Amino acid sequence: MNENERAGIFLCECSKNISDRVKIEQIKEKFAALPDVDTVKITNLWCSPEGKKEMEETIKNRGLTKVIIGACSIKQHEKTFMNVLEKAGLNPYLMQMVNIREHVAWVTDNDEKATAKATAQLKAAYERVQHHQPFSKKEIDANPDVVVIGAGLAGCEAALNLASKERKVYLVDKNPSLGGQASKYESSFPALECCSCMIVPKLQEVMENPNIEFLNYSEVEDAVGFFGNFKVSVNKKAKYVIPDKCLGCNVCLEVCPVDVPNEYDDYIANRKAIYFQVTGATPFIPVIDEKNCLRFKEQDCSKCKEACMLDAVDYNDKDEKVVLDAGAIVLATGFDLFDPKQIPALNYSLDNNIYTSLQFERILSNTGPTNGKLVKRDGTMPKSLIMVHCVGSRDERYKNYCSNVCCSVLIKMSTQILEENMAQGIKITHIYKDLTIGSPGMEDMFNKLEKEGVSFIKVPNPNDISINKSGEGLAVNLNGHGPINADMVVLAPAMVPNKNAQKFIEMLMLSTDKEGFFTSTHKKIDALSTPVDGIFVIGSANYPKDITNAIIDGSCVAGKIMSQLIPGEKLEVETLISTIDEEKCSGCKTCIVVCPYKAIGFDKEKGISEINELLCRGCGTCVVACPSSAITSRHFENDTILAELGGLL
Amino acid sequence: MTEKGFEPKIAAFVCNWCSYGGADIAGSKRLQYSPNVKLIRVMCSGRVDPQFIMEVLRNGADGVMILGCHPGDCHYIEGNYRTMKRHGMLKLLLKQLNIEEDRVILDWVSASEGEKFAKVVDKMNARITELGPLNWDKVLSRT
Repeated sequence: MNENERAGIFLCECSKNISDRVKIEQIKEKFAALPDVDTVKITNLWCSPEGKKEMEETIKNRGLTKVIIGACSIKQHEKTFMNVLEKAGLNPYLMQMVNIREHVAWVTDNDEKATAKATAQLKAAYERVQHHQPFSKKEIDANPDVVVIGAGLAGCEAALNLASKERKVYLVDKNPSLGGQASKYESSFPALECCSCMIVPKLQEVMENPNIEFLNYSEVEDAVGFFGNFKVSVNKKAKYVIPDKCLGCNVCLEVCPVDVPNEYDDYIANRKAIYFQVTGATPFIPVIDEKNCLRFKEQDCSKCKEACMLDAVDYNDKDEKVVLDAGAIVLATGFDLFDPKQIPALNYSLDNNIYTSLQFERILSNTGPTNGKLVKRDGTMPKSLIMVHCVGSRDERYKNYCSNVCCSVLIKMSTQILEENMAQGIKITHIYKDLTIGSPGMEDMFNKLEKEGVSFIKVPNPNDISINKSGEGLAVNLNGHGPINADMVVLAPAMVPNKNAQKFIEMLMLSTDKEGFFTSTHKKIDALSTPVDGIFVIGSANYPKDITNAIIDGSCVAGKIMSQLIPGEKLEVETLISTIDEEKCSGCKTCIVVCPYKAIGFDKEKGISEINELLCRGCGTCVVACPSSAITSRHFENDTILAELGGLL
Repeated sequence: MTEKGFEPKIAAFVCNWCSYGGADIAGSKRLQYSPNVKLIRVMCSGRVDPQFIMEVLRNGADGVMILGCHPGDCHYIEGNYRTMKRHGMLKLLLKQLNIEEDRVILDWVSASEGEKFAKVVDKMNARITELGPLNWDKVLSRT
């Protein structure tokens, strides 16, 4: 050690837990003789108030420059002793704690061997600590505001819970209105509760909350920054309708000459170029679709403007680009359905009266193209209906997981049809692999259906059935079972991440699992956080889930953000990060490739890599990868580790 | 190959989040295992540079263990995958030096696996005892 070093060694008896096995008096003698060791002290419990006081005074009075502690696990008391150092005026990183309890006293059956092992571990610490450097905590100003991307039920719930006078929420959605997929459903399980009655009050609250700014019909174009300091660029698309003037009377729709497939009816019907997301949408304001409006195809149509009695149509509207400052980003982009066309044997097509679950929701909905009448394409009522579970699900060829919700959805829809007498005498048959109906009330709903004559046929794999035209209707062929005839078939495809979320993977430096869902920090204990601090994923974007759990996600993420991003408080960032020596860096970019947090950027002018100290977590992977040895890991430098190894054996 | 009274010198790199915790649990459960394995803590097994291993073998170690999080559970997401690859490459180098591959092992111990920690340590101690001391001069003199 350097001449001015004065090391202090504090050995703990740990109420005999250590001293019964490890002969610490012997160790004390040995270490007291080492150069630069100023003090070696033993006490019963260094973590006790008296112990901590004594340690603090010793450090101060003896002017200790380095501290070594032989005691319990780092996980128990490293923080405790770092605080003692700080109080004594010594940088908390100038200490090394050695576990001679869990790692020595408690696991060695022999005094001599235990003492020898403890001595070796302490020697390693003594060698190591000579290389320790003082590091200071780094704090940054943080913006408590939040951007929530996706205004379905998960996103809306998050916004409602987060918004306050001290925390603004920007709720961004590419659609004209709130509610996401749920705005398409007529009823919800298990009580067949009217879905819009259930969700509209919540959506209204979002509209009326003064601390939530809803950027509808808007798309996120870019996001840069880091936890506490994100800048999100959003394009607020031109709507061509003035919200304050529009009363939602529909006259503009009636005169529009355009007819295009309606994505909000999942393409089973058409809409105009000026349209509402859905009848009764919140907000109930139409927008003009530039892709299909004749004015954008060099035609001089102004029918909607002429018909509007409130002068609410404004052809001069323009896109507006804004940049939102926020401390956290919540992705709530929701789900799409697996495309059954990927299974040719199903002959999925509307003309065949084969629908997906979402399309069927639109048929059953009062706001849908049939006004809630259960009819086939030709307008007549079906006499028989087959519902196929697990389409594209739980199958290695397609999606190898269960989407949790579909079985309940099909049971709900069957119940709705029967209870509301939507098709007198209709015969309903379910084809399923397993019924996953674990949510409250679903078992009852299922039992009731069986009692009412709904058939449930179990097959090894619904993806192996085939559906063919048979006369006026369809024949569903199951292997090892005669064909079942039906007028109409509903397929329940797997829920997959919304394709619009793809762009966020690169933009936010996230990663996805093999099924395309965003990777969480930990699927079990931290499912809504991503490895990028400050970015969270909720709702079905995270994993397929029902309304109940999407809303729970919204509340949960709000709680997380409220405790991590406190208005007025600074954010502490990781101190023990890695740094690149500019002189040594050859610009090979190997470190950039290996960093799990994408914390390393490249300075094109200097031709070297740069570590963003606010994103680095100090794992040290890049240090080993660097062929030029240009990267140093704070507190775990090569020399430090080699010194520790030297003292160890 | 075995020398009477030979006590191996083995260094084990333990990662802060998983294997260090596993060692703690072994302690809480009072599972007894060989004290020949000494521990050195790193934040992630991905910090373990093959050069450390070569250095410690050169300086008297008879064996080295790298104990990280199970694949998929790395606290830093993928550090342990890097370790796997580096260990694979290191084994090729050891082969060239005629150093037995069992002298440098990589294993996974989660923060709750006290039993596994003790087992893995004792297994290593037994194996290295079997292999005998690593005589570095002898290694260098082999052609």
